[in-house]
Amino acid sequence: MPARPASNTEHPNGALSIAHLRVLAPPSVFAGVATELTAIVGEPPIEGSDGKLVWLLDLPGKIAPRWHPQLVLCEPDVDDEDELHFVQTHGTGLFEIGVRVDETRGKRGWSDTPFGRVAWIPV
Amino acid sequence: MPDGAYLELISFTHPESHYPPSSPTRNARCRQQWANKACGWVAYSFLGAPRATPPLSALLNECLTSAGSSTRYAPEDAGGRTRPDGVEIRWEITPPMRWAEKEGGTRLPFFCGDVTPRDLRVSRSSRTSHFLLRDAIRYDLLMLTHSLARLASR
Repeated sequence: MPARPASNTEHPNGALSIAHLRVLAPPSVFAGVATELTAIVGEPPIEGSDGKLVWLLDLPGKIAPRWHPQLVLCEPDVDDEDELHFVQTHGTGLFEIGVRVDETRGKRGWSDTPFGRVAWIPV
Repeated sequence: MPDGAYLELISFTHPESHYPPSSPTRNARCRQQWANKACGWVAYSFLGAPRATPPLSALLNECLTSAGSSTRYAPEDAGGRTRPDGVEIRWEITPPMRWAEKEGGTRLPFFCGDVTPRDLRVSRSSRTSHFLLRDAIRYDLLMLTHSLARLASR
């Protein structure tokens, strides 16, 4: 999927870049997955709280990207039936991707599809 | 996307039932690497390092061992295709050992590194770096999806 011409990367919904990848892990395996991701990323998370850790990622061809994508590991929100169902069905795994979008397009919040969740991050 | 990351949308042409039972095409359809996955996100990837010595899988496994984890990455697996214009592109995958299991394919990233120039596959500058390889490779993002046509049409 060549990025040139530029029209190849211009999206009607205003998508600009990946904001985050959110991996859900049940509390019982959260610490183990965190250890694995820290070893694989090669750096400790930049942000940590109970049940949520965040690593910064880089992008190809960008020495200093305008926005660093984030890898987010978190426990499912007990008030979110979709998240609870996901970990019950799949165990640990990628639940949501966040996409930065041009704020003038008006997209925000998230979209649930039959196949996955996309969060819209206006910038 | 403008930042060089991309989503790959995957959908089988036909369900397994389309192919005659026990036929080679049916078997090939059943053995396809995504055939055992449920619809949804099936994988995500960081940029690999096909010229790494020792191989990236060995470096990752060393890091995981040092961290006290028994999780392991499998040896590198070569892949490639020929573009419609006849240009051959090749890459190398470094997958977690459990990547092919029905569940858990998105627990950890796999790595995909370009053997042929990355510009042939994703046309932009690819000078990058990776913590394991000192200024050689930086992370890339790739997300594979399965039957996300409805999302793509929004």
